Amino acid sequence: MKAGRHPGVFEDNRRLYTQNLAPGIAVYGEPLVKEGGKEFREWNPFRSKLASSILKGIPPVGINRDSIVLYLGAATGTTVSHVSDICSEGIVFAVEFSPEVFTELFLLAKRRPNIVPILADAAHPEAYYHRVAAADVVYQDIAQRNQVEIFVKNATLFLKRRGKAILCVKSRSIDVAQQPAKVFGEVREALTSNFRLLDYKTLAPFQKDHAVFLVENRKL
Amino acid sequence: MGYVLYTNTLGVFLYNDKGELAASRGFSDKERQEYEPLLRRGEWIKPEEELLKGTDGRVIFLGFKKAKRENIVLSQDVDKLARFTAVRDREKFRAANQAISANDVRLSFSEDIVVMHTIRTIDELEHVTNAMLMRVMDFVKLYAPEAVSYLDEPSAVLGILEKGAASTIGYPISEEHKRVFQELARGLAALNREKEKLEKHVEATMKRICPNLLGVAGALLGARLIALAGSLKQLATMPYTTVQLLGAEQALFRHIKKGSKCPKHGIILAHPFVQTAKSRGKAARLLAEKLSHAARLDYFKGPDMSEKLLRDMEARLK
Repeated sequence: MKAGRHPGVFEDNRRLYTQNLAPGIAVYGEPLVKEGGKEFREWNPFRSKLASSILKGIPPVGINRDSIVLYLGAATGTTVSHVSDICSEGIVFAVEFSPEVFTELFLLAKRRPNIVPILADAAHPEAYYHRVAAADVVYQDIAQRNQVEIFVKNATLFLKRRGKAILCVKSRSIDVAQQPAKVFGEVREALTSNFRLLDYKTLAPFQKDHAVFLVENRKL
Repeated sequence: MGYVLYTNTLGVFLYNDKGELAASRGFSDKERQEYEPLLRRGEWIKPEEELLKGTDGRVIFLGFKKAKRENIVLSQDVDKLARFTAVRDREKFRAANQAISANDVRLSFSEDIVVMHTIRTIDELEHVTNAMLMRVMDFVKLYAPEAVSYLDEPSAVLGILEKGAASTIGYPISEEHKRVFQELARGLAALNREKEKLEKHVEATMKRICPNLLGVAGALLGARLIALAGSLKQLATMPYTTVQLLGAEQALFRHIKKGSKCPKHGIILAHPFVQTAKSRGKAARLLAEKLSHAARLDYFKGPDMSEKLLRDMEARLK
């Protein structure tokens, strides 16, 4: 197992791993691997868009050991758990709107001291402004029609200068009838007027009709 | 720069023009829960007012407030936020946030969640008992092929298993073999009774939380609509044309993507009003409108007007 170009992410034979922050516990049934006295959790690219973008070759997204991450659309915490492995000395503010899946996220946060679970609608950041900190990284994975608008709103409010932000776009939730490439083009346009676009990757074959955008807060 | 006032889940903090903490006021656990809804709505809270009294000149408030105040400027500047956020009190900040979230989960409960769960259980039970019944009937068919053709109730199949049926054709199957399937058929009959109990329970619950929807749609269809919409709130806030097509998503997307014919109704086809109508499309549209109206009345705690809604609907079809 080797450290790759992404801090805290290890690679072995085209498989990704993160070092388990809560040893002995698998979060979603992923294999646990012991090596050199440490325990690693396999990171499944078919279940996590961040893992698939890393395999597709996205440059480092800015999540380091002590990063503060604002994670929008945390769901049950599959990807959140790996982010929490990586920023072991940082904080992940995990925002999720649906109470049913939130309970699972809440229980995950009990076992992982760097996750702060927040039950809120990411479309209304003013309602949780007092509950989060300024972030080094904003990560968003929300299947909503206005997901770009939500992303811009949150990144503008919470992303530090020179901070990086990742947007996962599901083309079908923006417009089912439109060609994904065309939808991604429009997203790209909307993002470049607010941020500096660092990279853009589609996630095939891991996810269908999905793309990730990596941007930087260009305010100097 | 003047003063900066910043409120988070731990308390209210006032910084002077050098960025030093000038005054602060922490929240107790009780206060935190009490102020939380006010902070979300962007209202000024008492500790903020208290700290403001000790200031003179211009104050920058870091965050959102609805009401403007003299000498106070609202700002959502990221640099200030980065400077003043409570990352230092990480553990406390996390615990406070967790307490609020736990409370939020409790508050988010409403009885339509139980209705959705129950209707999904009913549908699943029906699915399973039907599949199992087919199996048992295939077995009965082995020794009494004539008897089975019209049976669709576990109790009827059980009758044949127990009493036997006259048959001129079929395998001579021993009682020992039949007994195993008798047990299974009994189990299915019991499951069927459980299903009926659940159906009554759905109806009773809906009578309390959504009498209008119950009256217009009936218990099972109404509950399925709530389940498809995701909640009573979502059913009430969606356009009625969406209600009309709930359950016909596949056909709808096929229509949008490939230009096939647009579906006229989703699961509301199960309603007798649509079933028996000459023009199903028109009936579906009228019914969906009334269903939507009913859900809105229920969600906003209006009176039970379901009978009037049904009357209006029928009058408009004529």
